[in-house]
Amino acid sequence: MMTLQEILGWSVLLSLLLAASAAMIMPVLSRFERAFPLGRARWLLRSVAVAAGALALWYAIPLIVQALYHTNGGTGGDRLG
Amino acid sequence: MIEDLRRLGGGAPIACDLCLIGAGAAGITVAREFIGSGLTVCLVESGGFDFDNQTQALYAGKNVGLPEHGVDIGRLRFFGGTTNHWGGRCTPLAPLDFAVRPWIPYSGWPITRNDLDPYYRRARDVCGLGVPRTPAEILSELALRPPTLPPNLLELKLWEHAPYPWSFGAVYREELRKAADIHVLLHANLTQIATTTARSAVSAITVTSLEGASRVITARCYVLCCGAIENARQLLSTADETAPALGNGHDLVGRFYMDHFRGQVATLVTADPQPEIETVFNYFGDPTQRLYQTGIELSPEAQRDQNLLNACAVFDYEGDPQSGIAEAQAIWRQLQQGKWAPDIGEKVWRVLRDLDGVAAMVRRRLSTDRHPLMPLKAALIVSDIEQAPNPESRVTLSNIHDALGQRRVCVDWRATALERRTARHFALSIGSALLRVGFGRCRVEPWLAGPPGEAPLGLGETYHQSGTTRMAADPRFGVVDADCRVHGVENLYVAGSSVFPTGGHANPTFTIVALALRLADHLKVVLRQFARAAP
Amino acid sequence: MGLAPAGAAHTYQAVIPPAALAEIFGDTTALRFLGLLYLQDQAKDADPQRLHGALFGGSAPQTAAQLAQSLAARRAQDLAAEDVTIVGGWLLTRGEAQLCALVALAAAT
Repeated sequence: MMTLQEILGWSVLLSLLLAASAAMIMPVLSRFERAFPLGRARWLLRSVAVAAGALALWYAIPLIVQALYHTNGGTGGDRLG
Repeated sequence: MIEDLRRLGGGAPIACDLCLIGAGAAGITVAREFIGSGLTVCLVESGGFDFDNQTQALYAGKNVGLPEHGVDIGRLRFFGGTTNHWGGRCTPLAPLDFAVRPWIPYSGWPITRNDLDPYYRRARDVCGLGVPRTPAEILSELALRPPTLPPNLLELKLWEHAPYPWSFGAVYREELRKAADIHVLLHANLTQIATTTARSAVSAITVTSLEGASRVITARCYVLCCGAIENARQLLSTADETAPALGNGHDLVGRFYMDHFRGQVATLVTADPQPEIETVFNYFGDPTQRLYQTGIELSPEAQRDQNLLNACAVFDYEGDPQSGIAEAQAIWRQLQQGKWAPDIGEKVWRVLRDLDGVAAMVRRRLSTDRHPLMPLKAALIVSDIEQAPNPESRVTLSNIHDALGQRRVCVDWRATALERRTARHFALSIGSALLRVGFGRCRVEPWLAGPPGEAPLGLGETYHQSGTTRMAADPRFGVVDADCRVHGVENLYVAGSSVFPTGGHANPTFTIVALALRLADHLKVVLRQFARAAP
Repeated sequence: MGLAPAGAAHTYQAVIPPAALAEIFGDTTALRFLGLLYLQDQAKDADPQRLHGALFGGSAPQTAAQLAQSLAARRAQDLAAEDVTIVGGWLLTRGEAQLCALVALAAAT
C-alpha cells in the first residue's frame, strides 16, 4: 500500500513527464492537425500522443543520462595506509 | 619475468645480485629501480596475483595487547601487498618527526627530513601524484579559503591522494613482467635464512610454496620487505639454541611496535543548515581529477610547548540520508546507472520538501563544480594520533605454527599516557578554534572528557604498523643502521615501515616508498662495489 | 552541593533579568543542567557574587542586548586565551560555563 507521500511524489513525477511530453509533442501535433483536421478525435489523439511521449521519456531519460554521465563510482575516501 | 614456484617446482638454486623478499610497496619500488641496471634481481612474493585464503592465513597470529586487527586483516599477502587496499593518502613525515624530542623517550631518527626530501620528490612519480605544487598553489587552484587557525597551535593540513585505486601490484605488474633483469617468483614463502658460520652475512634463503615446492636463492644482498610484523617475525625466526636472532644482539627486534591511534575525538554540531565547514575541510578534486583532502594538524610549536605527540584530524560528515539533497543525489546516481530509483515516489516527495536546498545545490554545482553541501546531522572529528615508541609494545613469536611450520606472531600492542594526553589537548584545541571561527560547537568524546588517566584510550588501530626493526646509528638502540642494513649482518637489509623509529601522524606508504628509493640507490653502490671486488 | 550561601540569591538574581536570559536562550533548562555539572567540579565558583563579578565586572546588563554584548565580549576574550572547559562533554568557554553556573544557582534558590 503506497503512502500519501509516495502518491504525491509519483503524481509530481508523472506530471512533469506529461508536461515535458506535451511540450515536445504539441507543436508537432498542431501542425499535423492543421493538415489533417480530426474534429473531436483530436483530443483523443492528443491524449494518446502525450501519454505515449511520457512513457517514452520514462524509458529514455535513464538511458540518456547513463550514456552521457556514466561513472564507475569510487570515492577515494578510504584512509588506509 | 614472472614465475610461479608451484609450477617451477624444486631445482637448482636461483642466483641473483639482489634478493627482495616481499612484493609490496617497498619491494616493488626497490625492484623497479634496478630495471635496466645490469644487475639481476629476484623478487619473491608469498602470494599470487589475487587474494587467497590459504596464503592470507599465514598472517594469522595471537593478539595479547590492545585490539589490533591489523595482524590478520590489515595486511594483505599477495602481489602488491597491503597497497591492494591502500586508500592512497600521501604526505611526508614532518621535520619534527625525525628529531630527538626530549619529552618522547626513544625518539629521533639517524637521518633528517632533508636527507629524505629528494626521495620524497621521486616517490611522487611512484605513487602517481604528478607534478609537485606548494600547498598555497593547491589551495588557490581549489579556491579554498581556510579559516584562521590559532597560530603556533593548529595548522591546516593538506593531503594529496594517489589516483584510486593504486595497487602497486596492478600498476607495476606488466613493467616487472617485461623487465629482463627482474625475476618475480610468486607463491614463494621465506622459510629459512642461512648464514655464514659467524652469522655475519646471509649466505642463502629458502623459499617454499604451500604445496611443498622449495628453492634456494643465493644473492649478494638480501632485503626483507614484508611489512613491520612479518619483518620482525622473519628475523626472530633466525634465532636458534646457540645464537640470538639476526640483528637482535640487544633484544630490540619486534620491540617498539607502533600503529597510529585513530578514532573520533569530538563531534561538531551546528545550527547552520548548509555548514560552511564542509567547504573547508573535505575532499576536493581539481580539473585534472587530482584528489586532495584538508584537515587540521597540531603545530610543531604546540608539540614542543605542551610536550605532545604529533596529531592530525579530518572531518567525517554525517548527512541526513532523507534530506532533499541526499535524495536528489540518490536519484541522479541511479540514473547514471541507467535506471530509476526503486522508491522514486518517496524520493521525489523528499526533494519537493527541500526544494530550495536542492536548487542551491544545483546552482553551486553548476557554478563551482564543487561537491554539494549536505545538511549535516553531525561532523565527526576523527583524529590520527602518533604513537610514542614503547619498548613494551612488541611483536614476539608464539608457540603456534603455521602451515609451513613457522611460528606465528604474538602481538602485544600497548599505549602510554602521552597518546591520551595528546588526544585530549588536540580535541580541546580544535573545539575552541572551531568555536572561535563560528563553525559550531564540539562535544568531546566521553573517554576524553574526564581527567587524564581515568578512562582507557578510546582510539583504535589504523593498520599503519611500524617500528619493529627500528633505525639507529648505534646497535644498542636499533636493529638497522641509517642505510637500513641490519646491524652485524653485512648483506641483510630491511625495507618498509618496520625501520621507522617514530611514525608522526602521516600515513606510512609515502615514506615507505621514499626510504625504498633511498635504499635502492645505496644498494646499487654496494652491489657495484661487490662486482668490482669479485674475482 | 555547595550552592549559594544563604541570603546571597536576591542580590544576583536581580542583575540578570530572567527576561533577558529567556530572550537570548529561550528555555534555560539546558543552562541549569550544565551549570550544575560545572559546579560539581568547580565548587569554588559556587559564589554568585564572584561569578557575577567575573562575568560582568562592575556593570550589570539589564537588557537582552546588553547581556548578549557582555557575553560576546567575554567569549572572545576566553577563546583568545584558550580558556575553555568541558562540561558534560560540551566544550564551553569559561564565561559560558560561569553563566550556566549562575543560572543554576538562581534556580536553586
